[in-house]
Formats: sequence, structure tokens, C-alpha cells
Amino acid sequence: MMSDPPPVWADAWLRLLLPARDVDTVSGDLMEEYRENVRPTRSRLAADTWYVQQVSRFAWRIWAWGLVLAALYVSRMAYDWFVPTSNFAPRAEVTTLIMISTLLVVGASSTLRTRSIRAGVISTASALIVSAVLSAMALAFIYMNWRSPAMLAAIQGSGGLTEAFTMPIIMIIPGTIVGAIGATIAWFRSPSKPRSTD
Amino acid sequence: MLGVFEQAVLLAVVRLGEEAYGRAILIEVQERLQRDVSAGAIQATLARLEQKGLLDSRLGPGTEIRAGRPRRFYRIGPAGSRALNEAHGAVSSLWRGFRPRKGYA
Repeated sequence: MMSDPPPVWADAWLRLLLPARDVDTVSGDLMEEYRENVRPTRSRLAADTWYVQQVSRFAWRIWAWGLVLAALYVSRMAYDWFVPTSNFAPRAEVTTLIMISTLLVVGASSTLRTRSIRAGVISTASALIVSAVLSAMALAFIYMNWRSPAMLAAIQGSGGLTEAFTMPIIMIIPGTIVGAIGATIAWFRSPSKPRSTD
Repeated sequence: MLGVFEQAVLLAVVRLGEEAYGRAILIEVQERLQRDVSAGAIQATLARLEQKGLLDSRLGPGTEIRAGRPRRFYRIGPAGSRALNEAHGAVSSLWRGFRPRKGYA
């Protein structure tokens, strides 16, 4: 039982999120606690859940950024649904600019903190996945609670319900690319010499 | 001025002496504060204290249970000792002359 490893994917995710200097030491601390204290006293499922919870707490910034991105997207959708317009271009420009800026900041801030471009990219992708889930939940809540003929017409006029729910998923890849750009800029402009290029 | 959690981490480093590494500090802080503390919170605090110059660290060898991954051992520096003394002095002066009554202590 002592040799049971923690979930490989969670360990790999943790290692991607940590600053380069702490990758081995911090993941080693967690593995030691898992093997010596947690796993011997809990079922495999409970022990793995503990490990994933610990990793998630390292990634609290990802949850926070996911929430910010979801709030931006849902606000825009709610605005279109409750205050319809025939000209979406100005709204789209503002939303796109804010979203791109936010994604650049997500990638850059993670890279500045961890000194790793890879961490910036992973953080952005993870935040976008969190955002997609939260956005779907929020949009479903709005749709179920405030559905009306006027709103249904507005939804149709703004691209339809399917587009509203799938857009955050479609945004994951281009959004990650934007985050990667932010991460790369931050890495090259970092005031202190970065430790890792990976 | 140190926060309560920072004081707990610094005191754990002092108490553990040569054995002050991430996991040992986590266990010590949990026992002293008598609550669940995440490894992430300990790690962030250690990094902050080291950045402030209150702690020094060095790498130690890994063990089999850690899959050979090294340990980072921490040691309090002169600035850390001063900060702890100041924090202790501030708390002591707050309580000086106050007689604990039932419900307070």
C-alpha cells in the first residue's frame, strides 16, 4: 500500500503548475504525505480525492480566472438576451478586446509567478475549461428562470442557443493560443531572469 | 508585521530545526493550529517568507517514498528571528495587564 502512487494525471498537473524550483520538492512532499499518512488510513478513492483536493488548492488561481472569464462571457450573453440589438459589432469588439486582454494577463501572470511558459499555457487552458463549465451552468440557469418569447427571439437574433453554449468550448483552443502569447511576452520581459524555458 | 499564519509557519521551522521541510512543517502547523491546512497554503507562505529574506532554504536528498524527489529544508534567518521577536512583543504588549476571565482564556 505504501508504494501506491497518487493519481498520475493529478501529479502531472501539479508538476505543470508549480514554479520550476518547487516541482520536485513540493510534489515529493505531497507524495510522501499521501503514501505515509493518507493512503494507509483511507480507501483508494478517498485517498485519491484528498490528493486531487490538495492539487486543486494549488490551482486556486485557475478557478479564480475561470470565474472571471465565465463572468465576462455570461455578462455579454445576458446583455444580448435581455437588451437585444440588431448591430452586434460594437458589443463584439468590446467583448473580444476584454477577453483577449484577460487571456493575455492569465498567461502572463502565471508565467511571471512560475517562470515557466508551459505553466502559463496550461493555466490558460485550464481556466478556459473551468470557464466553459461555469458559463454553461450560468446560461442554463438564466435560460430556465427568465425564458420568455422576447428572450427566445433575442437568443435567435444573437446566434441561437447552441452557439451560446458551444462558444466557450470553441474558445478553448484560440484562447489558449492567446494565453501562450501572453506567457511568451511575460517570459521575455520578466524583470528577473527566468529559470526555465519549458 | 507578520500575520498569524506566517508566525505559525516560522515557529514550525524553528521548532523542527534540522528537520524543517515542507511536509513536516505542514504537519506541525496543523497540530498547532488544530485545523486542516492545505499544502498549497504552506508552500505559498514559505515562498513568501523566503522572498522577504526571513527564511533560507537548501535542498536535501530524496527518499524512496518520495520517488527520489528531493526535500527542501528551511532555516530561519536573522531577519526572521527579529520578525518573530517583534510579533511576540506586539502580542505580549496587547495582553499585558489584562487578567484572563472565564470565556477569554
